[in-house]
Amino acid sequence: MAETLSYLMLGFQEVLVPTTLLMTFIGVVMGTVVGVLPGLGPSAALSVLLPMVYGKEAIPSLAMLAGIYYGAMFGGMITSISINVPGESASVVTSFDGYPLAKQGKAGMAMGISAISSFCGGTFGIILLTIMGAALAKFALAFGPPEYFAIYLFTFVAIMTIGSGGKIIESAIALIFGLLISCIGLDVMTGTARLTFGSVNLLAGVDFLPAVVGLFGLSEIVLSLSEGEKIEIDKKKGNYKQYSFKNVFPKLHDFIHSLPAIIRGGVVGFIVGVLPGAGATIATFLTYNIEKRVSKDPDSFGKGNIRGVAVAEAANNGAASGAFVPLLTLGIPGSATTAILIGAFIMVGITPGPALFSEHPDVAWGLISSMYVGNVMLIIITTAFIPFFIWVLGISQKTLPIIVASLCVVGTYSLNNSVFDVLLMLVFTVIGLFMKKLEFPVSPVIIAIVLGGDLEFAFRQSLQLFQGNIFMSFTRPICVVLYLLSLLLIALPVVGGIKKRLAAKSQVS
Amino acid sequence: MSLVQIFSIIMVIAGALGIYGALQLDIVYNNIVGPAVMPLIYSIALLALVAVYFAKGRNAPKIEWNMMLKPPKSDAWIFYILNIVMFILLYLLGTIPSILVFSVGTSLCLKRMNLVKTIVFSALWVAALYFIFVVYLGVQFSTGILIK
Repeated sequence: MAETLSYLMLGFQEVLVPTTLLMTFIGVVMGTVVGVLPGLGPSAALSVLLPMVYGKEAIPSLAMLAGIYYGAMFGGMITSISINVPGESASVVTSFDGYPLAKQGKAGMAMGISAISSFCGGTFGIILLTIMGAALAKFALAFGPPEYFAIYLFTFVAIMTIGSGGKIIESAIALIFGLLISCIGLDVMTGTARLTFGSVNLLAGVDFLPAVVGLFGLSEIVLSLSEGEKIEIDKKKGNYKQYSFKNVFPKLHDFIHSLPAIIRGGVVGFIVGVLPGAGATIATFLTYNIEKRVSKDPDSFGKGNIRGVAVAEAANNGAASGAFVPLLTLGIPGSATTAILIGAFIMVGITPGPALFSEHPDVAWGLISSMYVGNVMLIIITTAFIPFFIWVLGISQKTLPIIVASLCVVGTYSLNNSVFDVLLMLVFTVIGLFMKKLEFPVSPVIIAIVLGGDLEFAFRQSLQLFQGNIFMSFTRPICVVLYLLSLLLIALPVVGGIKKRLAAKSQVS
Repeated sequence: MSLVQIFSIIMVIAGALGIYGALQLDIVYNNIVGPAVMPLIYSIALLALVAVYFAKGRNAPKIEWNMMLKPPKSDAWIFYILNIVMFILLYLLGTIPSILVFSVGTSLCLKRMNLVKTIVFSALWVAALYFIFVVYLGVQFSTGILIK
């Protein structure tokens, strides 16, 4: 524990310098804006802004990008509560009770509790990350290729099952498509060109940036244009008064009433966030249902129960912190957003994984410390500047498509000064559009592109180690546990499906 | 045709290309799996999954093409076409002209702002991009093959 605290102090030393503080501030403000804007989630925003960290210092760059991620979780609540338009999917649950509270003239109070819950959930998650991160990384240092292969396999199975939202086939197609894309380029073990079809541009493989920008950034904007989404905002000055600092600051009894929900949301959110594929959206729905079940007055949920707002916000921020555990300790992203963050690590010259805490303790602990600082910044920003963010939402509707598209094109081009990358980005935009229209989960494609090469490398190294017999990996306990967990994840939906069919048959008969 | 069918065709093409590409490579290398194995496994799995998905979605509604040419769908088409124009201009004329044309074109075609506001916004936006990428990040903007 003393060692952890001393490392944390080292992290604060790295963060409490003007450059990093400024970058963290920029990140959390941008994240809040992103959370406010419908049609631009944290994944899209991170993908668009990723080229900006290329070649820059690691700690300020990563602090900024992480700030965008958890800032978006904070910002999502502003429009969920004020105008019933969740800026991103993890804020949908906040609107269930937040908007009814706003209609009762308690928007300020709802936002205040929301901001405090977000802060508590996020900070709670960071404390757990601080405690668990280094310990887990130490444990993972003993992993060899077979263990890594088993972890990648478990991650992919979890994404296909837990993270699929019931769309297992669609999720599997997205995942396999991403894995196939990851095969393009020079083979890591033999140096043979694979699936390049004679193109020199494909020899280095498909860079993950054009894919992520196309699948998340540009396709999101094209889709929102095709659906003609327009938001009406009441511009009367009186409407803003309920968001003044005095009204937003919650009363003590409201906070005490919400405290159990905040704790439950933070704990469950963090655990769900750690699981690959689950993410903040699932965490919010799950914790909301738990809160409804434990409540003495479940009927008041959906009609303006402040605990409904508190639990959802604590959960999505807890999940955002939880997602950093597999990212920092194992180098495994559990969601599209963390997959993009892995790309950011690589762009600043650092490989996330077990060695991160021992080889780059300044970066690992600097990032964690920046999250404490960022959460403090966020609670001030979100309680004091709510009218500003609602104003941003109003003006952004005219210019957002132009800003995002030009950032996508210039950002993708600037990565390798390659027009071919821009062409790839436009192709991925079309694929992303199809996937979103057909309600395919898009994040498995990105996670597969990021991890596909490592999965194959671990598999082939394991085969070399076991002289061609992969079943030898069953002699290693961690592999066995992970294989069994993967099997369990596959078996659960199958058994559930069979049970449902049997129940339906017995009803008919 | 339905969206499901079109997407399935795209995925089948991807799977078929994967198999074709993999068959040009070694299946066994140094007595363990060669570079062909993973693309081959992925391609076959992709084709099998797409077949299941295609069968599941065979009754999916067909695309109403006449709706595609009316707002708001047409706005998305125009926007995507303008992105392609931006890409072509990026190749031919370079970054700054392509962003200017895209910004003005998008704003006017999608009726976002009037001409004066559009020109002012576009000029400011190009200047902001120049500052972020060229001054701050040290990225070289493309000059385009015609200007080179």
